[in-house]
Amino acid sequence: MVRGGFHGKILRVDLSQKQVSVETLEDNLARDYIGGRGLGSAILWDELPPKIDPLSPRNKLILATGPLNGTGAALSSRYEMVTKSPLTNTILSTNSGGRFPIALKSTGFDALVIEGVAKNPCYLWVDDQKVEFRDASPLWGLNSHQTTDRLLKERSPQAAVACIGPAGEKGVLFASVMNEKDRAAGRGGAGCVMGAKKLKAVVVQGSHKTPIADPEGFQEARKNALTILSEAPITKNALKEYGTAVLINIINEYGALPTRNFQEGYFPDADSVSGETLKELLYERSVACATCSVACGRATRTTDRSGEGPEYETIWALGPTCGVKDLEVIAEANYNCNELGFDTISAGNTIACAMELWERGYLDKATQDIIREELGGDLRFGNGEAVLKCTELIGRNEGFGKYLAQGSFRLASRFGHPELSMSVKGLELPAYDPRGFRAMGLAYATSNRGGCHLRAYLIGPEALAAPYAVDRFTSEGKAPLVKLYQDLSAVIDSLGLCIFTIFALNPDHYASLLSTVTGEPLEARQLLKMGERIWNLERLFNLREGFTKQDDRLPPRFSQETLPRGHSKNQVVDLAPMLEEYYRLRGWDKDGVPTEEKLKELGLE
Amino acid sequence: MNAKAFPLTLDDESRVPLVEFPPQDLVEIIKELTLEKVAGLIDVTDLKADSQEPKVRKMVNWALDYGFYAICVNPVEVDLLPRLLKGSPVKESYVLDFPLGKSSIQSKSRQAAEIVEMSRDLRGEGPGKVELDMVINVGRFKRDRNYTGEEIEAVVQAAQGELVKVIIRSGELTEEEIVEACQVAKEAGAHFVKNSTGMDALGATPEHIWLMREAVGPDRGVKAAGGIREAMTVVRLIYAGAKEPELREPLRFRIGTSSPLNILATMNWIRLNPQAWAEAKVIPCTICPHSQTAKQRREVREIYMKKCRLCPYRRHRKDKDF
Repeated sequence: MVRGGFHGKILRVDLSQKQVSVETLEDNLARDYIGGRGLGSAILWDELPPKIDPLSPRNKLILATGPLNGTGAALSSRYEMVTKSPLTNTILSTNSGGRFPIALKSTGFDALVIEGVAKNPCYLWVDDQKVEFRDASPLWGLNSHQTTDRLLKERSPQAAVACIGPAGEKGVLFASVMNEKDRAAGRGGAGCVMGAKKLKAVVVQGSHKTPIADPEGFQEARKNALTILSEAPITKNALKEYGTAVLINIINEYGALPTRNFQEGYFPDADSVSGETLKELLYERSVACATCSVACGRATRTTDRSGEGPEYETIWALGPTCGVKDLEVIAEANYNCNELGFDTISAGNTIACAMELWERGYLDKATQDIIREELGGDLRFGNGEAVLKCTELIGRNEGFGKYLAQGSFRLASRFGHPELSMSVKGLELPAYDPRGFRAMGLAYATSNRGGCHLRAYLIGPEALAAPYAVDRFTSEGKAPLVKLYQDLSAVIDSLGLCIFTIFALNPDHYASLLSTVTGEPLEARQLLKMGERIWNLERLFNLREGFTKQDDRLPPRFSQETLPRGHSKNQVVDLAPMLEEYYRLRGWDKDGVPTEEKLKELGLE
Repeated sequence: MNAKAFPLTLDDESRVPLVEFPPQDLVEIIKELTLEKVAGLIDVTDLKADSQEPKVRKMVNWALDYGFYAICVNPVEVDLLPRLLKGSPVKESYVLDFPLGKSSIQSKSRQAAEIVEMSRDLRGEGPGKVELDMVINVGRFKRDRNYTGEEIEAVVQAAQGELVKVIIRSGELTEEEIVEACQVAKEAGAHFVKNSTGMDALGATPEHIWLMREAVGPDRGVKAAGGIREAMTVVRLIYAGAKEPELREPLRFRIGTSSPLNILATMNWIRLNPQAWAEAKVIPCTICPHSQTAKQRREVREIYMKKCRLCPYRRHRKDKDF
């Protein structure tokens, strides 16, 4: 019997053989791992041999939906891409919103497992249960906007497209998968994996409705959740009014807006790149994912171009951390990233790393000459035109862009200074300096996909008083919160919900939504246990790949260099005690390996 | 310093206000609080100038759905609220002479009588459905305690046995004055003391709620209001004002808030993992009256600023952590 929330089918696609098969979704897989991120991780764990090259045909790309996709629950249009990351070699799950997730679910498949490599560029057309391989040779080289327009015209205007841009085709290690042109499964290089498979796009449409086991109970749970989302301060006001960029001034005021490659935490010109300024200068309209009542997205226009974004992380990555204060330049660099298809956070960080290498004189003369020739000048902090040019070079993976396309860790290591890469496990850090937010520091260090804020978004309690304000400078009491948020985030990603629901909903809301959809009673504690199971499975994947305790660390800058000004002045991070407590709470040994008892408790033995 | 070690003397300049809480005590409170119990302590409040009928209807629906104790609104809503609440256990609560409390005793008294009569007429369910949150005239209180006693007595009498809460505007008062205002209210027959209108220099701080509870004892109610938006603040205020479990009932302790749903939503978080949240370091300045001096009158501000300068947590204020 098919559970509510699922169609019970997985589509397996072999690009090498041009074959498809339909498999039954095993009931226990859905029950133990929820869906989305959990489901994708479980499949990857089972099927991927250890230590394979992420860009080889043996790697798999899994597009997984959650049980709430297509149910009409608020903020329930997120799907998950799961694969082994070419940037970090860790497990990678990266999600995106828009309309694509619900369209994917409506095909009648709960997940797509893509294997092998196509002989020639192709795209996949999934129309309800019909699946076709189509030639993508004419699309190869087109950007995400052009590709989307062409495919919608070619197939159906009602379809939804997730595609790669030139960055994915050309092996940029942090290439994204773009849907609805500007929505990105952004982090860790899923687009690069897709490009290596010569898969240009996945186009989907369908008419299958997500089954709901207890429609009456679900409507009640859905209404409750929507009411809370409509009343909670952050989802009701702040995000709606200014989008995510509302955070620029807030985080800067905390002295924790990383500036000039994390050398500082205060950007004096923050207001010139803030959400408030964006609304004055570039804003056209708010953009929402399907089923979303918040609408944090922003359609924008510069003098010459238009598109979506930039969001908070993007503004920061292409702005303050590169020392750039021109919002129009940042917006256009963001348009480049979206159209060419790569992650703005990794791109901005890598450019900032290159800027610091330049300013410290660590680049060799040949490289400096290349930069001068290609950028028409130097690569100092604050050079907005250089940032804009760099995004073009990264997208085409040529010239100095080839160095940047490898990410900051490989770039900094190439020039003998890996310590200048602001990354964890090779994934560039987001826009919250851990010297100003201790829990974020622990969350970064222990994140299963590397330096990431979305694996445990503790900015809620540390900066936004959601659910309430905690002391951001103390290490005490942070490990339990990090564990709680990591487990809950795994749940949210697996349900197919937006992470911003965490600003309003609590674990009981998630449990009610899931239990009424599946028809199986579930308490919040059981749901968190599922999240813990997913987190531990991801950890096991990384351990199998050879990661160790040594990889649960932060760049040395955070423990050795204090911030020179702002309201986090003189702060450093002391990670060790938090990490020790975190391992203990997780039921892991001193080396960060889950104990047998813990694995048994989670059914992972 | 926690409340156990909190000295009763008010003139001790070195005393640290009630800003830290023993995690285990909080855990015990959290474990004892069901969502229904929290909802049963809440007055859902909207006193904004631009509030209109749809908001009142929305609040009524919340109260009926979640079991909140009362709806607290401006007196003008007395032509609507009784009709909406008819047949339900939810109480009507009206603020009186809000927010300054500067009307005459006669005026307050007349308004109280009018509200009670109109509510009873429309609701048709007899006494026990209405509550009045009256604001004292703080200026007069400062020089004439008897005047305050008289105005409270007048309102209590006009209320015809309905429950009267006295808003003392603690942000305008010194600690000694807070205690005295509570004692005056108690002697004048008020059922509750309430710290703030929500529009004052200070919202609900555990320190003031603790002082108020100490002043009125266990046989009067204490209502905390102003800036209460999430559950941990509620738990801390309960620690301060209703530490004994028997005080955690609506005739002895109340929370006034315009964010009742967020409180229940965040309550679920901490109920699920009480230890983690109790041990997470809350920023003390957000709940400390000594740090929130911007809007206070000068003589009060000077007292509090002096204490703030001596406080070991001052760095949070310096770092603008709140």
